Amino acid sequence: MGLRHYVLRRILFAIPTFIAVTLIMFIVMHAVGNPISMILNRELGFSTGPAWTQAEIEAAKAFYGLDKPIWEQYFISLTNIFRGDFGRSFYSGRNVVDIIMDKLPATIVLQLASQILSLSIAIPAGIYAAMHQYKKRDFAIVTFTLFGISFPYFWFALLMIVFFAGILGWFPAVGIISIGEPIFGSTILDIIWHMILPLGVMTFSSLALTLRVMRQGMLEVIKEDYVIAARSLGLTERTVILKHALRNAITPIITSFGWLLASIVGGSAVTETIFGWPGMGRLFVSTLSSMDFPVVTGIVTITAILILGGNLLADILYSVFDPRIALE
Amino acid sequence: MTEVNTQEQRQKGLSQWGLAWRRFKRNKVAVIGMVMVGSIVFLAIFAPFISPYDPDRRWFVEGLARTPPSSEHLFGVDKIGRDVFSNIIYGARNALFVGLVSTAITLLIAVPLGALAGYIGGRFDELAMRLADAFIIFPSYLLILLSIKVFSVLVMGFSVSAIAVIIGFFGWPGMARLVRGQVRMLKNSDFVEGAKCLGASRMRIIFIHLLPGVIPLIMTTAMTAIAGRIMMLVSITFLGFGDPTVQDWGAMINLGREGLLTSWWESLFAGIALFYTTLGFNLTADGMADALNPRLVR
Repeated sequence: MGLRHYVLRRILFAIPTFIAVTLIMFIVMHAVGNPISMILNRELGFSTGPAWTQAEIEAAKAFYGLDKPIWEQYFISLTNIFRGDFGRSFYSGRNVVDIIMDKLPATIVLQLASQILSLSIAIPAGIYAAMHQYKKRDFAIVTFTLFGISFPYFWFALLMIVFFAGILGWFPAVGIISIGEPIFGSTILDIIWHMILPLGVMTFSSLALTLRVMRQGMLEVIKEDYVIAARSLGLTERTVILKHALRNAITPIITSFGWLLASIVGGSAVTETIFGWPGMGRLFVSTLSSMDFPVVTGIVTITAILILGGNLLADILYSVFDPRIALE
Repeated sequence: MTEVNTQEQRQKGLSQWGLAWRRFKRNKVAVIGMVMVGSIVFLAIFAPFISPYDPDRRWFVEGLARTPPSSEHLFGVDKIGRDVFSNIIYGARNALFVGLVSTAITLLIAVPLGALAGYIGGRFDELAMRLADAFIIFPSYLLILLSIKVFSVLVMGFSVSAIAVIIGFFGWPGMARLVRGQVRMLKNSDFVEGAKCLGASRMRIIFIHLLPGVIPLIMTTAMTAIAGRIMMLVSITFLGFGDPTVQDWGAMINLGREGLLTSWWESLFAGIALFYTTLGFNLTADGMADALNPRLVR
């Protein structure tokens, strides 16, 4: 009963966040004045016909639903979102959802892989550092995280391309798949081969932060009474750390998961652009540059849904790890 | 004479800040970080005197474009004929401006809000923290890019200040949470009870008695924030959403990115400048955290 109730409450909490995201986006888009001027400017770039008359502009406003009171426009756009209708691209006229769905898999594959890789390095390394606090090994790891946080990941990406793709020629610099025949005779191997560089950069950019959180969490936990109690029972250090301490030390990572996810999604816009990775991040940058606003707002909305979903999943995981949460 | 001086000092003792400064000085890495920050601030302030040439001057007529580093052009010349060294120095101005202004804006929103929420508690606290929770999991980077495109590029015709304000605005929730937590911890202290008994107003207690206790935490977080914001700014200008008329490291990295194999000087030095700056701020922040929080002994 506790858990189901808890999950339901978390879902209810996610709704205001979602509405806040869409509202801020709506305000930003309307701060420029009536978006009709953007649409018309767009169209004017292509047509050489006579200038728009006032009557035509009014008619165009009515066509795009931009003549209604502003709160009604927001309400309509919100109901459209809930119906899965994000409008059409200014350029191609294609359905925004279709455009995004084409790009979504590439982003999710890269995100998931880098998340898993980063966590599977950060958790053991964080434990290791915390267990050897004040020693050279810990100092080395702490120094690494400080450098990692300060190192510009997009510049790191460029250096990786130069070194591994340019000088050594081991990996392709851009793209997701070879043109023509796939390398190694297999599409999956070909994609993995293309993924290694962007994956390395994304993992690097999230690793340092996760490692710091993990180390700090472990340092706090090993001072707790129950860890001391476990030790005094004569359990081996291995059992104390892995069975008693880890369970609690890992919670900061789970609780900051939503925030971490949000920041990584942001970073993917840059990484995907550099590596020509055909995902949502690159689509966002290119459509924003060309002011294809329906696609842009669609991407932000879908990203918000993904982050909220990921966060919800983390919350549920958290309550499984720590049943007290659901009972609160 | 010196005898008397030391005697006097001994009697006066050191303030909390003095003690922190002494702990900070002992931390070699932190001092190096501070020197790094100091040197960048120096470059930014005295850019016109340090920079050998006008950063906008093009050297095409002299036959210089994409020329490697030489004694006249320390960091070489880029593909549109500009002296890279001068542009790096002026670029420090842009980076520091956005880093400082955006962090100041975050503090302006987050400190009063966090302090009030922490002290008053109840409904107001609940509402403020719900809002912060919501904001923290925003796809902020995408919303920042969108806002910059709309406000800074379309409405204001490339405005660096608008970029700083936008980045600063989206940074409030983390800082507000920190301040709130600290204020909640301090508000049950005896000195607050004492101030209440003396009839101090709520605002006086928050801003005169409680906030000074939060300042160390704010300072440390602000240093890390400056590093993060500079990094964010450069990534944004790297993507091409910055002001093209302002000297900027991100624009330089972007300009030279295709030539990284052959004319590496075009973007390599800008990347190093950025790394140097963020590392300096982060090292200083780390040292400050240790110095200002003696309980967290390393």
